[in-house]
Amino acid sequence: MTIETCIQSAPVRPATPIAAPMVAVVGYPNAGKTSLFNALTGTRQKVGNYPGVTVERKSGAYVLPSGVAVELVDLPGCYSLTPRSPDEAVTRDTLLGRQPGERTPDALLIVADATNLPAHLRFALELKRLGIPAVMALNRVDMAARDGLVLDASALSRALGMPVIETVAVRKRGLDTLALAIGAVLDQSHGPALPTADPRTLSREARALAKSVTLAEGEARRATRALDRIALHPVIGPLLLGGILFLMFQAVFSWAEAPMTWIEAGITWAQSIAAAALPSGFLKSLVIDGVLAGVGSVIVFLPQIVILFAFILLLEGSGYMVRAAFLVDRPMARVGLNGGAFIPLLSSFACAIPGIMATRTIADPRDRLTTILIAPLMTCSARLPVYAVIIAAFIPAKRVWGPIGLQGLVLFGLYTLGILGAMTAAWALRRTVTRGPAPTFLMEMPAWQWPSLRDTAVGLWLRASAFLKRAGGIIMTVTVALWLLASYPAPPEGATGPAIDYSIAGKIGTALEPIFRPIGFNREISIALVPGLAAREVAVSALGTVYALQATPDDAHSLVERLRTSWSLPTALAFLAWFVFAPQCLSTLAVVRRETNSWRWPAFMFTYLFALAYLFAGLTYWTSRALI
Amino acid sequence: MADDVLLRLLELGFDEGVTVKKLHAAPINGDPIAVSVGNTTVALRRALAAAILVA
Repeated sequence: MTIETCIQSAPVRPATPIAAPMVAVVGYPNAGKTSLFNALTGTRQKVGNYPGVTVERKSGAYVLPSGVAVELVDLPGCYSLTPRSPDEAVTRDTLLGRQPGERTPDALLIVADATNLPAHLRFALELKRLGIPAVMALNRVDMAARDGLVLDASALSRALGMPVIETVAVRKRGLDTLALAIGAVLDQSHGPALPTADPRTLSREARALAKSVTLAEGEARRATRALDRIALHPVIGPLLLGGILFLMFQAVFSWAEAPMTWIEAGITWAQSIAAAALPSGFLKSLVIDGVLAGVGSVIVFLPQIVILFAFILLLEGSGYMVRAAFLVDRPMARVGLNGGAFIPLLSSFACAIPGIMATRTIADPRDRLTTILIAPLMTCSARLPVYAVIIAAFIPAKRVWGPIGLQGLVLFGLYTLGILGAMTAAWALRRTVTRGPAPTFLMEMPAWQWPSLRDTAVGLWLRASAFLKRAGGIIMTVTVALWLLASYPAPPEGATGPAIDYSIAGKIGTALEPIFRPIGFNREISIALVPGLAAREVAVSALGTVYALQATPDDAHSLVERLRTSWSLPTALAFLAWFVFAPQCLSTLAVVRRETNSWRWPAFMFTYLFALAYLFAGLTYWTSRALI
Repeated sequence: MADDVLLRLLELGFDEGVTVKKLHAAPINGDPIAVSVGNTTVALRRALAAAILVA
C-alpha cells in the first residue's frame, strides 16, 4: 500500500525517443519492491500517469554494468494476475502487453520476500508462465537470517529456471549481482506464454517448492510477533495509536511554525524587491499582489505537508499503518467503511488530494467512492489558516484547565466536528447512494522493519516537488485569474468606495450576498468565498485583500483587528462552521472527477457538502444569536 | 463466499492442510482478528474467519 503523490505530471508519452529495454519490477505489495526500485534509481525517477486511468507510472533510468541503459518501471504491487483494483489491472495489462501506450516489458524483476517465501513464490510461478525473461530478487535475506531461516538460493534458481539473487534493498546489498543478472536475461528471447493455472495448484506447487529450498526453518518473524503483542494489545494498542496521532498533529502544527515564518519572510522580501524594481502599474500589481501573494499563500503550507507526509511515510515504511487499520476497522465498520479507508482519510488531514488518490488501493468500488466522498471532511491543512485567523480574532486566549487553552479546544472541536461529519456522511451514503453489500476487511500484515531513510527521503522529495509544481501551475493560474477579477474593472475616476466594489469579484460577491445573508455572512465574506474556491486558504488572503483595499492608507490595523470590529461573534462562528464542511476547493473537485471518471460525483460531492456547510453555518448562526 | 475473496484468501496462503493460528483480536468486540498462516500474518473480520473451515 502506498500513498500517492499530490498531483501527477504529464501523461506517459507512448514512444520514448531512445527505446531503452524496459524492465518491469513486480511483486506483492509488501515485498520491498519500491525500496529496491528506489535503491536502483535513486532520485532519477519520473512519475507519470497511464493514459485514461488514474494510476501512477513510476519509472527510472538505470545503467547496467555493461553500459546498457534500461528503463525500470515500478508496477503497482499485486497478489496475482487477477486484478481487484485499477492499480492491479495496470500491472496485469502491462505484463500481458495490453496496457494502452505502454510497451511489453523486455524482462521482469520479480521481488520476493525471503521471510514469506511460499506466498511470494506463488505469484512468481504465475509470472513465470508469461514467458518473459525474469530475474528474482530474493529480498530481506537479512531479516530471514535473523529469524534463523536459511534458504538455498541456487536450488531455487534451478527449480524456477531464472537467476535468483539475494538482496537487502534497504541496505543496497546484492544490487551489483542483480544488475549483472538483469543484463544477462535481457539477451534471452521471450518464451511461449502458458495458459493460466488453477490458483490452488499454484499455491501448492509454491509451498512444495519453498519447502524443498528451505535448509533451516527458523522461528518465523520473532521480532514482529513480539512487537505485535504490544501494538495490537487491546489496551496498549489504541493508546499507542492515539499517542502517535497526537504527536503527529502536534508536530505538524508546532514544528512547522518556524519554517512557515521563514517562507513568509522570504515572500515579503521578494515582494519588496519586486516593488523596488518594477515601475508602478499593471505588471507591478500582477507580480506583487497576484503571483507572489497568491503562490506564497500556498507554498507556506509546504513545511506542514512535508512533516505530515514524513510521519505517514515512516508509519507505512515500518509496517504500522496496517496495524492502525486493524485497530480502527471495527469503529469504521459501524458506518459501513473498513479499516483500509484509514490511510486515505489520514492523508486527507494534509490535503484531500493525496487522500483521494490513496483510495486507489481500496478494491471495492462502493467502498472507494464512499471514502472519496467523505475525504474532504477531514480538516485539511489549508483550512488551518482560516481557523487560525478567526480563532485569534474571536476566541479569547484564556486557560481552561492546566495548559489547555480555549483556543486550542475550539480548534480540536472543529477537527472533531469534521470527523463526526465524515462518519455520519459515510453512514448516510452507505444507506443511499453507495448502498450495497459491505465488503470485508482482509489485509496482509507485513513484518515490522526500520523504515529506510532513503525510501522516506525519496517519497518526501516526490511529494514536495509535486506540491510545488501544483503551486506553480494550477494554483498560480487561478490566483492570478482571481487577482484580475478582484482588480478589474478599476474604479471610475473620483470613486469613493473601495476599489473591489467595482471589480467583477465584487459584483459576484454582491450577487451571492442574498444567498449567504440568512446564515450571517456579510458582503465581504461573500466576496472572499469566490476566490476561496481556488483553494480554501485563499479565502484568508481574499479577506485580507477585501479589507485592505477598503481601508484608507493610514489605517494600519491587522486583519485580526479588523475582523474583530466588523464581524459579530455569531457571524465568526458561522464562518468556522461553514469551513468545516465547505466544498470549496477546485483542485479536489478536479481530482474527484479524474478518479471517478465522471462529473457526476464531483457535482454530487459539491452539492451535498454545500448543503451541509449551509445548514451547519446557519444552525450555528441562529443558535448563537439566540444565546448571545 | 465471493470468488474474489476466496482467491485472495488463497493468495494470502489459506489452503487445505495449512496451519492457521489466531494471534490477536482488535479491542472492540475482539473483531477483526489477526491470524498466522504459514509465515504470513493476515488481518480479517470474524465473519470471514468463520467461513474458513478449521479442522
